[in-house]
Amino acid sequence: MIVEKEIQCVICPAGCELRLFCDATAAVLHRLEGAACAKGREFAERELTDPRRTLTSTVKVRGGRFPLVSVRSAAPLPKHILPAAVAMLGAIWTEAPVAAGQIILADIMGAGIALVATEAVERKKNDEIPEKRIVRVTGFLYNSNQRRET
Amino acid sequence: MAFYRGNEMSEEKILRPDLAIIGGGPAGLAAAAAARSAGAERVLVLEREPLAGGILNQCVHDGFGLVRFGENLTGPEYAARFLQAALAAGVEIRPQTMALELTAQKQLWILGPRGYVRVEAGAVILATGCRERTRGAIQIPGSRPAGVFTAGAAQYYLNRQNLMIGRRVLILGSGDIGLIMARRLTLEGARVLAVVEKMPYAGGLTRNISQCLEDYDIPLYLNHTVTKIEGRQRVESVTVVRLDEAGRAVSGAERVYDCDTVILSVGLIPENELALQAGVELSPVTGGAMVGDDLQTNIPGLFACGNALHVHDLVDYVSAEGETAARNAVTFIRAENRAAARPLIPVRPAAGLRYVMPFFVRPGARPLISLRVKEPLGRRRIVVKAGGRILAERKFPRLAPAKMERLTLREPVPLAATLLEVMIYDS
Repeated sequence: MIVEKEIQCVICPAGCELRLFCDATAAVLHRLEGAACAKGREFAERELTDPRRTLTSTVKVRGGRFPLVSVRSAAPLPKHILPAAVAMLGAIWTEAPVAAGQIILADIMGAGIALVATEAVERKKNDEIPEKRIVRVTGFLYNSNQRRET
Repeated sequence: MAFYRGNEMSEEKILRPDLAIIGGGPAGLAAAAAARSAGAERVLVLEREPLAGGILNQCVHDGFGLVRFGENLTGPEYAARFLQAALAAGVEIRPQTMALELTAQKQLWILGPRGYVRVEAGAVILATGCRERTRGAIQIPGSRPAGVFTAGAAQYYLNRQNLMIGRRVLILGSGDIGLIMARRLTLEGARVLAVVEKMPYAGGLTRNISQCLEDYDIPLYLNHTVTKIEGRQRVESVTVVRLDEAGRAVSGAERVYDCDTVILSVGLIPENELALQAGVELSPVTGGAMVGDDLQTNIPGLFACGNALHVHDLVDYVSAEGETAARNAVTFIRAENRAAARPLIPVRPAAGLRYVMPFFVRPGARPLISLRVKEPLGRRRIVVKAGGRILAERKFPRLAPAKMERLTLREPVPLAATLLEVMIYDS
């Protein structure tokens, strides 16, 4: 028996509507319609057996100029582990400075895929003005902190 | 302004770059590097935030750069490529610097860490991006509790400030940032109850409907809207109603959602306060400048690009447009071609098109045409004509308002042309 299934290709912004003709267990792809390129077939086959998505999120930074660093999985992860992986990221932190491309975790949840920073976060400089010190007076923003912090 | 003007604090009172670019986001950074390679000596980028990169810095998700680099980059990764290219090209970027005033003579006043400075540039590019429509813009009745955010503000709190914004969330509007936030909030432990869209079709790209909503079983209700937000301190409930074909609320089709947060993803508007000050003619349809094919506004030497010109679907095209603006700005600086070079031939979109960019073309030019349709259409052929002559033609398997389509003229605009028509045909 051939089962028909419609999915959306999410590889690129073209967003091809794929029509899959697979066997009854929906594991083997017999025929594919609607893919504008070869990546569509690859995506469709993967979607049937091992759907994966890239994880993108943020991780807390200590001593950084900004409180968070954006991160991604180095390769797409099995879709079903994403919620647990993001929950786990909430519990970890990294130390500034962070370089773009730096490995934050060597292996996400035993999937054998690394978590990497997608941006750089510098260390906070001592003489930077904390935001709380900016005081609003008669509609004009000025800095009340003339003293150099140590 | 008078207050600032009398308050000269800076050692440098006047800057004279060849090109000043207002906004260091994807459009501005791409424009800056392109202007240097086109031969502009001194290129100055004015950026309001501490870091250049614009909205990309808070777009931590991927999907950027597929068109330009054939790679699937996150927002910060995409921004870093252009930032590095601009710095390597010798562009001067001034962060934490706000452009306060722009005159019809392209004089610019800026305020930043080095004080209050006047900028007199050979040419100016507006790359100021866009803003989100707010609750005020769409006038949702009800009380005014905390917990109503635009999608971009929510994104900033979560992705940059490490602040969670709510637990039970309803999203109004199906724009791309709203869809991205539905996924992000779900993964961060919030419950996204529904995405509610007034129109019979989604505002965002189909791939985002799939990977942000369907992947997480978040329902999308088309032809529905929010009629009331209630709560004293914080949002407590939201009333959603189904709309009939004429867009009127169907009585008895209301549903009340118990939630603490409402996210609005109800459209973007090009940011053009400076353009208005300078007297730039804006289009009521796009909200951006009425530019010619060289992306020059009605003010000679003042150019516009990126989301400040019209809201794009993909950042890849924003960067490309920035580069086009930069090359034309450099040509302007070189030739000092004042008003003479204004494009003369108007572009007329067919009835089914929401708009066509540019608004004017110069005879002999071979511009890129961008357009958006008003509503989803099936198989169509889009044709660009001048007189009886077909200058460009492309078939589309389907057209959607969320997608910006582009086509390049295969031959230049005839010198004798008086009108450029962009037509849609059933194919």
